[in-house]
Amino acid sequence: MLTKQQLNQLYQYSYSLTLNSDDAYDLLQTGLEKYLKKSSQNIQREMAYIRQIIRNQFIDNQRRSNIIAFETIENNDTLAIDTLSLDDLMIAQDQVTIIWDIMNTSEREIIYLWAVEGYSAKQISDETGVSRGTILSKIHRLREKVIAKFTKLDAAGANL
Amino acid sequence: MKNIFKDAMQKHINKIELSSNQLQKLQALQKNNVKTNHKNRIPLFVMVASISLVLIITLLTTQINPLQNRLVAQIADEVAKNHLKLKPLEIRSEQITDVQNYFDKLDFLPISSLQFKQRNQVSLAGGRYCSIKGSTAAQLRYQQKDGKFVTLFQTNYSDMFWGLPDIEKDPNPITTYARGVEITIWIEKGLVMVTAKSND
Repeated sequence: MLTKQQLNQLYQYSYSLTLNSDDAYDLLQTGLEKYLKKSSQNIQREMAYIRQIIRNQFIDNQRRSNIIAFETIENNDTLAIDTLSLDDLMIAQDQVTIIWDIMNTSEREIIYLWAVEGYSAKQISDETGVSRGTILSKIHRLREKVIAKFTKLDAAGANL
Repeated sequence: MKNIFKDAMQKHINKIELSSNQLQKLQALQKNNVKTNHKNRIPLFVMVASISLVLIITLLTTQINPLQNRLVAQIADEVAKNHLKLKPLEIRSEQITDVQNYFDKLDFLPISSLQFKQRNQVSLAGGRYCSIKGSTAAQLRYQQKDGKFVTLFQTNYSDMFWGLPDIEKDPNPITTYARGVEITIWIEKGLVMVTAKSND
């Protein structure tokens, strides 16, 4: 049986995908039901397995609503040097929500896996089934996006 | 004051938590599933074994009985024919040891069957070689008080006689009729025994 902490971690992951607490709960519940049906099988890396179910369920839901859940990125985009390129960023805690809200689904997923699960780009690639090159492209774009937003926020702060 | 981006994001995400109501529902969902699984989950090997058992029983009842019936009918017909021909005896003696000594070309020793003695008030007249379904057999002829003959055929048990009742496990021999002759078949001490008796 999953512990309270594990359920909360999965909820956080679901929330990272949906950015809505009700949708996140529905997604988690559906994912958990699917997992429990299969739980008689010998499943290794249980949490990663459930996240995979949740991810697939989320993509299915988005498809039904004709929404593209994870936009593709060409591999010839500029690549980041692993997740290290995010490590040197500094942020004021009150800016976090703003940054979180401007991220798209795949960026939030990467941030969750990197910040909460402590994954490297390679591990994120393994879990999501997205190539490492694409993950590095996304990280690079995210860094650029975050810096651009910081610049705007800092400029706005200075003008006040 | 600025924080490291990673730490700030982690702190932000960790604030996202299920409500106690949502948590209870998810925990209940897991508990119910555990109960249901304990109730309903049948190990795969048990299911396979059960299905196999049903198939075997079905096969035994639908396939083996007809096979056994055919075997019994074939033996009965062959033995009845031999019994009716009443071919001349090759050894004449009332002593089973004399008759046993005569059958030195058999790969088994003809016996004095207890089952046969219990069922028939007879005295040994002699014997001759014969065969049952191509298997060399001893034909022992006995005479009843009324002068009628009863023939006891004995041959070594082999796989072709599989399914016939072994008297040690099943005290009821198979009784049937062929060519108007009463035929009784059983297995005793590793030998196939068949008696042929004309009742009229």
